[in-house]
Amino acid sequence: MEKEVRPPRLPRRMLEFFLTSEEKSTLLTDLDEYFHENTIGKSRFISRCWYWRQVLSSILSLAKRSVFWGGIMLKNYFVIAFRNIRRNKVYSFINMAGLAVGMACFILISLFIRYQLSYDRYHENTSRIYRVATESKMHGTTTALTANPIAPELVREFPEIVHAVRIDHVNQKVLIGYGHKFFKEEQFCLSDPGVFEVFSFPLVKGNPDSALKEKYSVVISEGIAKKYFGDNDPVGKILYFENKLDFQVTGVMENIPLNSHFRCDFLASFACADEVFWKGYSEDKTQKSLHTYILLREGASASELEKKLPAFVSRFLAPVLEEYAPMKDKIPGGLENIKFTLFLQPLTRIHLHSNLFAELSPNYDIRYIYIFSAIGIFILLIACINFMNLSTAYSSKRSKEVGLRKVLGAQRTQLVKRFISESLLMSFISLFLALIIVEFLLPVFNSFMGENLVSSSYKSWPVFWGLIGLTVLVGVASGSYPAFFVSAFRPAKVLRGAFRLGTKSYFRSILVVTQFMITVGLIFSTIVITSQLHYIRNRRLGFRKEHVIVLPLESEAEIRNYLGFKSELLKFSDIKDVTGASNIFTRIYSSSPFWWEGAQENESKRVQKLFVDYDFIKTFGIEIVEGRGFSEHIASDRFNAFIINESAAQAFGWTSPLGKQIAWARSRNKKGAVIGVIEDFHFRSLHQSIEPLILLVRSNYLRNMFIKISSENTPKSLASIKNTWEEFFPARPFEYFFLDDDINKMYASEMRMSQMFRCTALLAVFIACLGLFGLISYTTEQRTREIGVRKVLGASVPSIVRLLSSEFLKLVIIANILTWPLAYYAMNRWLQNFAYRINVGFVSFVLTGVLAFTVAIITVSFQSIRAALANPVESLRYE
Amino acid sequence: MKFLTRADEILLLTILRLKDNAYVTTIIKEVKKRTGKELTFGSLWVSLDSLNKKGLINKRMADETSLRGGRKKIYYTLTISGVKANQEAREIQNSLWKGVPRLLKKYQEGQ
Repeated sequence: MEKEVRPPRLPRRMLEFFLTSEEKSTLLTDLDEYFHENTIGKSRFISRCWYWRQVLSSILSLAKRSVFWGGIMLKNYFVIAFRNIRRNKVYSFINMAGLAVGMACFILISLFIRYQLSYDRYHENTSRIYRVATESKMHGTTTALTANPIAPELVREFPEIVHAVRIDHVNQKVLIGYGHKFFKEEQFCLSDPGVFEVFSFPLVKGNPDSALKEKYSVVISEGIAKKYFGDNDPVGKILYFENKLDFQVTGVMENIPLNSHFRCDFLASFACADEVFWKGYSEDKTQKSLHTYILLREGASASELEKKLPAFVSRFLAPVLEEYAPMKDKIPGGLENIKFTLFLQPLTRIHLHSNLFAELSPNYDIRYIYIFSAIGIFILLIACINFMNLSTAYSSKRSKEVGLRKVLGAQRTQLVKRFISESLLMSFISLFLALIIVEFLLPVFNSFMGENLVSSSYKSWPVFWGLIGLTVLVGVASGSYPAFFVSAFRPAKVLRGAFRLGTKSYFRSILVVTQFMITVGLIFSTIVITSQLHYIRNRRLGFRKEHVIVLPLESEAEIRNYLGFKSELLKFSDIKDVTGASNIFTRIYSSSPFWWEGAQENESKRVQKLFVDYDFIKTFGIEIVEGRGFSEHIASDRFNAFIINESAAQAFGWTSPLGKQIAWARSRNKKGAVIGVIEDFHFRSLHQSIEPLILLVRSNYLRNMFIKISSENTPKSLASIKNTWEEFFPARPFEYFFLDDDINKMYASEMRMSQMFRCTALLAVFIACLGLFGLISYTTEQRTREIGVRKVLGASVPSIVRLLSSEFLKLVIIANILTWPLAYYAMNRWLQNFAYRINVGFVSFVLTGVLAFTVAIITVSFQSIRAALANPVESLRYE
Repeated sequence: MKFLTRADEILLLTILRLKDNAYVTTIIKEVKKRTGKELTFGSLWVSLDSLNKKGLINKRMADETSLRGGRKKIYYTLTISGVKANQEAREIQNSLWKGVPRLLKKYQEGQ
């Protein structure tokens, strides 16, 4: 007889799960028989695989059948479930409210995350599009920009690149006109004709193949078409650009979706870049001012291409280096500084993973996505735990029902099904409530997150199925423990009435501890984040930021008229000071190489510099540690005087900096003296430590005007500034912002996170307390008689309250102790993002503990005091 | 009485054809031979079980382990009502088809 293969055991077990005992014997006999007939002479492995396949397909058929037959029973389960929900109104309400809130929170967060992950995925060729980015030695930074003529060279050199297109965003606002309509436009880009083949920007009008072929052609978005042309057909019309160029509209594209890492309303042909900027711009290999995107051929590997890029760059730069070689002494840092390396970024990773210099729009940070997902899951977990806890606690109330069902021949699996269907019903009702909450909260949430989770994207099939799946998961997960627990009751014991569920259950305790661990963690994080933000906002920045209006000056004319405008403004009594600087000085990224006294003759160091007006230091109240500020009356201050901050003095290694010499590395013979040292002030966000800084006076580089007004009547001051502005510069709209707003903007993502944490911590506390409330009301009810007897025997009210509450409060304390180290570690990691940060002190722990404890006490004592105050006659009478 | 489904009818006829030799393996083989469709074990078993519950077929456990190559098997046979149900199905079929071929032909020509 040939060797027999025995059927594997595991799939057999799985199959058995679906069968009644009577079915088991016949089906398995049939299956064994079928198995042997079919696997004679086959290898063990093949027969096993065959068996698995048969079993899995059988399970599918059996499941289908049980859905059909179960339908009748199911209806009965749901009827009973409804009755139960109606009978225990408080319990059901607590249960479902908690779950609904938790689910709503989870849904909102997942919508947000889904939206963030959807960035740039709508392009047909998404996976094959890459952005070329530069690591440049000149700026010492990695930037999203590339040298201007790189795109055509890339296509020429590499057959695996189908298209390479440039997107050149004209960074400032430009004046666009049609007929008599003129608007300032922010989103004006120049691009190559291939742009419509790389990106999927569908054209409503016009031909994508030829739209940007012609010089002076422009494709506009639908929104812009409406703005300039109303209902008329824009194709063929002429748009004026800054009163120097005329563009012909050759197409209208759909508005670029909001979930794109760049926006663009005008796409003009790159062929006219030299006229938009300056002659030779598009061929200048040292100029890095545009973004380059490539589309790879199908199957081409980006990493393979990346390996070939260094060789490409050296070929690309060879003529430049040759050209500059004779003047290498004049180039700051020498020829080395012109060199750069290129790398590729997948399009889909730009929004969440890229944070380079010159991003087209501020990107999101993947770390926040992780944090938010964790919070969403935690909140849902708390709600589920509530559900489990309450259902188990209340199940003993139903022990009689279960006992009777068992006596009447209910099988355990039927009871399990019955309980799970009840929790499913409740979770579906909660889903319904949650959706109502979401519907109401979505607009609030949108504005809070600063995003637009378009509701149409949320009413889609994948989301629908996701929600159904989530609800089933929640229902089954939170219903399964009570189901198995309750269905195990022994009917004889239960029906005799001797059965009482223990008031202590380790499993339930663990659940409560878990719940409070999450809650405590969220409270702790909230406290730390809030106090760090408080610290940031109130840290002495070293300058006075309040009541300062900033006016950016753009054109030459505006900068030239600076002094006249300034003196005009100073005539108003409520305008205290007016000064100017080259940068918006909360983010100075403008370093230059300097030579300093004590260094070698050809040595230099990159230091941040800021061109300022004479009264800059005085206006901002920056403290002068040594020496003096700039003065208009001293002629040498005009060009040859430097004021440095303390960090700079330290960096140069000077102990008495006054009178020491500094020079631009480019013109070392024109030395100037240090006339003053100012205190280190925070000229960047507190994420970074203070760097050395040099202040110089240059009246022709003041691109920003700072106006300090009195605090009394801001609208009036603004109006007078606006009027003066319009007198001076009638052509340009009046634009301004407040300095402190601008400073706060640097912490926008942290602010948002702090608000997020505050909301979720509140929610977590709310849900956890609901659960606690449900549990304590249940236990007190269970112990009514015990309390009555104790009171009759002379127990005092406080002692009973203590008795009832202590068990839960102990759990809260344990949760606190368990969470502290974890939360401490996590928050310390977060604080590392800041160069200036608070220490997570003992106070935060104590505060967290006290908060959690107080909330728990309030929740628990409400019920326990009521139980303790009850007249024992009431509670003992029903014996 | 409810109508037989097509699948039930196929199964019943197959079992009838196989006479005394109807068990899962032979049924699957026979159905494949006649219709070209290979039933999966699970779906066959579920249908057989439901036919059994409706009282159209009988199950008989036979221990043939004593025979060479034989083993425990379950044989399926038709019950009286199973046979009746088949006959009824046939009659309905016949009365429905009466005159239809002619109509079909006409219809095809009309096309």
